[in-house]
Amino acid sequence: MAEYVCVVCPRGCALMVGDGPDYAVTGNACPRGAAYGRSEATDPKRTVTATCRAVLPEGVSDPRLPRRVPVRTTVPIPRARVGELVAALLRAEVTLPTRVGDVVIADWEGTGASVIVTRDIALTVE
Amino acid sequence: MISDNTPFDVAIVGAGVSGASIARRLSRYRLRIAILEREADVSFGVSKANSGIVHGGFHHASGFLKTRLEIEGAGMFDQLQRELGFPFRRCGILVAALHPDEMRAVEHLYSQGLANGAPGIELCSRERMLALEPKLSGETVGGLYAPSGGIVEPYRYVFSLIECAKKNGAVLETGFGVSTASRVSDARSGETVWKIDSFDGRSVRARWAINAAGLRADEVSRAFGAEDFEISPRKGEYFLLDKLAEGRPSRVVFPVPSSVSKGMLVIPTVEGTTLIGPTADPVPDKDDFSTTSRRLADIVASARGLVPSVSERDVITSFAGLRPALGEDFFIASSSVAPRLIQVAGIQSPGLTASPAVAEYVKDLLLRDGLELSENPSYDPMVRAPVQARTLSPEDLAELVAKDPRYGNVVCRCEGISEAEIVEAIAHGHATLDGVKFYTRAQMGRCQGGFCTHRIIGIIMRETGLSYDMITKRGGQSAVLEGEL
Amino acid sequence: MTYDALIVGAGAAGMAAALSLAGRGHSCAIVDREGFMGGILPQCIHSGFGLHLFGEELTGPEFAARLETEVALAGIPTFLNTTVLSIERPDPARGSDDPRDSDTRGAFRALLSSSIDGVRSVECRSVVLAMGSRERNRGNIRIAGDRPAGIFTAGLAQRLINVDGYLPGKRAVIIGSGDIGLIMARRLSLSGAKVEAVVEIARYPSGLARNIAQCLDDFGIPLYLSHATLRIVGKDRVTGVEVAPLVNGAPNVDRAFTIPCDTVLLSVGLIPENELSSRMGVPLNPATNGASVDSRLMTAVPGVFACGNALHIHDLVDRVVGEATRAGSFCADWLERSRGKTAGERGSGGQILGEISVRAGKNVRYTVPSSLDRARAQTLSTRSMVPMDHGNFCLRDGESVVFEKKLSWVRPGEMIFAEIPEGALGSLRTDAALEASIDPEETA
Repeated sequence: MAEYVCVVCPRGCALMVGDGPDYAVTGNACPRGAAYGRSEATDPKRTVTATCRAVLPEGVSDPRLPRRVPVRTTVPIPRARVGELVAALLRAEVTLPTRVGDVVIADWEGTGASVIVTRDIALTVE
Repeated sequence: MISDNTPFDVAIVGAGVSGASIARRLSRYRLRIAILEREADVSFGVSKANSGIVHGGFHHASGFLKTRLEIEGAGMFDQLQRELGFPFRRCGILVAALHPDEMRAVEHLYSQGLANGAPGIELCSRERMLALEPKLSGETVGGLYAPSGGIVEPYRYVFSLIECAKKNGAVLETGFGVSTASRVSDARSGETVWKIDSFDGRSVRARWAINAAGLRADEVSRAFGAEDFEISPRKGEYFLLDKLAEGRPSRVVFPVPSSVSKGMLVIPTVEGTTLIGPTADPVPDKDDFSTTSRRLADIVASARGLVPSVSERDVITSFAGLRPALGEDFFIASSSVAPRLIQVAGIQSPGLTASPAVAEYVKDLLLRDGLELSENPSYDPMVRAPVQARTLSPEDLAELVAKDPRYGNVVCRCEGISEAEIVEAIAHGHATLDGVKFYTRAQMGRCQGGFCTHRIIGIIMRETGLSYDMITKRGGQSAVLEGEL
Repeated sequence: MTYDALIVGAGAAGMAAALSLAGRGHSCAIVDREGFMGGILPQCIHSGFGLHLFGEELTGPEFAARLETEVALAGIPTFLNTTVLSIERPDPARGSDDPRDSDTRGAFRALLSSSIDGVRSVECRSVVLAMGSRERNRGNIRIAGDRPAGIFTAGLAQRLINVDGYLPGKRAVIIGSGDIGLIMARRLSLSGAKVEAVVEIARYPSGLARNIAQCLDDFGIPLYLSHATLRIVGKDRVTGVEVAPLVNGAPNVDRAFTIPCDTVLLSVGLIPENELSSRMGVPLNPATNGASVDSRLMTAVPGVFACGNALHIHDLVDRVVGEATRAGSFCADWLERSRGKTAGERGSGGQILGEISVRAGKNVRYTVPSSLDRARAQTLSTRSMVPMDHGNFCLRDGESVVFEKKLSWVRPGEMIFAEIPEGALGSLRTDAALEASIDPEETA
């Protein structure tokens, strides 16, 4: 029996998850919570959000532009690998301008999760 | 630049109100002047954290040097303001008696004021007190009114004094903490001069030296092999209230003084906030500028006793200053131990008020002791006060912004400080977060830098070329950012 | 030209209000002091936004981008890097420049300042205040001690890390367990810093349980509940934070201990940003520090509306959009009403004549608005002072319950919305005054 706080929505239900092979979940207020409980017990995953270094194109220089580009994974990745991905992302470079959805890394390490840009950043600062 | 060849005529140790006033006064003459300041910026010692009051000349008995210099100095502030443009206003000072017994003390202050020649001083009835200051407590039974008393921004005052001195040729070295001073022979003139060393290995030679080192005047005196005395720091904690606070009187309100201190006041600052405090607690450590929660409660209680509408809810920040306590009077004299050294030590209240007169007095000591003072014909007493976008009419602001667009970019929204003003502060050598804060007021408002700090960091980096890890709060080890992603 | 509405702030509230007004055919302009749209959202790079509004969990910048796209499509002009210095109330003597305005109200005159466009005046018939909030700082909560470098509010640290790319420190203690502090605990940890502890003075964390789980538990960061922060230590840079457990509500100094660190993050609450509002003479509600508004989200100054965090601090940006959309819609109503009528027939106490005042009663921290319309369906927002598993929100006129709503999982950190149906208050006396309360229910 294990206890988890569900992070799927702001309610944060206190989940009780039984042992395998059933991994029965109680305490959830919705089916997504049940799925989360089972996932936490068997193969915990997290959505990763981070920033990459913003790179300006040749000839462009403007200290008012953001120096970081926010990104996220398209789907959760194994929790154990979060630190590894974040470290890689922090070093990675993304050239401005950006649109939400620009792909930074496609299918990272075969996890099925891609990393996409989450902010529209234009080159012109008014 | 420090030149190792020709010694300076005068080296002034300490750039607080005393050192800065002396520097400006001496810059009227053809003298090579070096100002040696231990902190990252001028006015960062005692002169940064105090009540900012130009006193009314009644708090001290005649016969003290400090009393005479207080009256003289107080009278000089109008002209100084015209020349230097620092924020200053004669709002008047009240001492409120909250109990019939306290009127004895008030009467004593009044007769002291009369004896000292305090201008316009009045003994007041309850009615007169409440008419002069309607926000006074209903418990007021009477008091004293000194219409000549006023409020000043002490660091803006020091900045303008130093700017004037520098403009007229004085050289400022910051981060210069005096470690030793020795007598050496100057090869060129054969004269014996002072060689003054800093902790970080710099060295300045000067024919004359002035010890105006505030909290460390005792250490500097020992470094010069001069008089042995001890400065005992006495901490004063303050609260700062919001500009919109109800509990803001229009005049400075004092309680009746105790034997140790002038008491905890309610001070309407020139820029519109209200200061309450200070406490008076001896502390062992000259670096202890910490505030304590216990004393802060005392301050609010005391302030509310004088001005009942003072509220804890209006507090935006608190800070502490240290008084360089050394006996009852100023110690301003030519050293009788070390040659060509003027001691300016133990300058507690009324040091700020007295500072213009202290400068005159020190100049006279130097003259008497043989320093030749010949007028510098190109001396310029004026310093233009920085333009403040927030004080301009819309039309004037529009015109200014058209000429310099950076006046149109509001960086500190709480205080209305524009990018151009911050750039100007940096150009004048105030390139730390605190330096920018005290010069421009950016970060002093309601949000206390929550909105503008990252912008100011960016502007300092841009204007100075400093990398992110060199940006400090106030120099030394006070780095703001610890890494880059 | 005279805009129908000037919206101050291009965050979620400002954009939503502008879209609402533009959708009704009114001309508006958005002003923001930042160089980008979105307000605080672009620096909130974590996910958790938009579940209610879009059915997706978006990051802050993605949420902002949705609104920004619509604003651009609607062709709403935006003035960025621009500060509103002041807004003058209409002077009937001045009148309006537009000959179509037959009323004598005149327009508001806003003074804007930017380095690109200089200083200029903009006229508008109405104003929507959507300036968001500022963070409570050390001075507000009076933490004693030294004044070293290394003390940041959580939002400032968030900006420095997520937008500027700098690490404010290497070893941090976070004071306050609100969501912003918890999010920053994770962000600092992921950025290579060590978070030594989160210190919370209350018995319960003020942030969501899910954030405790994914921001603290995931990283092994201890949470000290019922601990007061006594002082910050450090001469030039922070060296530690001294904390003590609360015993009988007071710090037990004998059990105080110092947590070594080089950085302190303060996550101790948000305060609505109302510099401009105060200067304009808009009366504020001391319970919220935001403007006092009637059921139309209109302040006591006719034609000036408020919404979003500038009105009261929200938990979910989805709800901010809802509130701002309503504000825009009420503003449109006000603009469209027959021009001859003077706005804001005020009763004593400042509320609209005909509106019923609402005061905060048992367990209620505040209500927004502070008065309700007799006839219309309307939304009332409120917060409970205490957590409850089950509760009952009531509006009472004396003894009689005029409206109630059953609540479950009541938390002070979760705003409660009561949808009051049309006509619910119709039978009340003209001088009725309602009291809002939240009563705990024992039954499940």
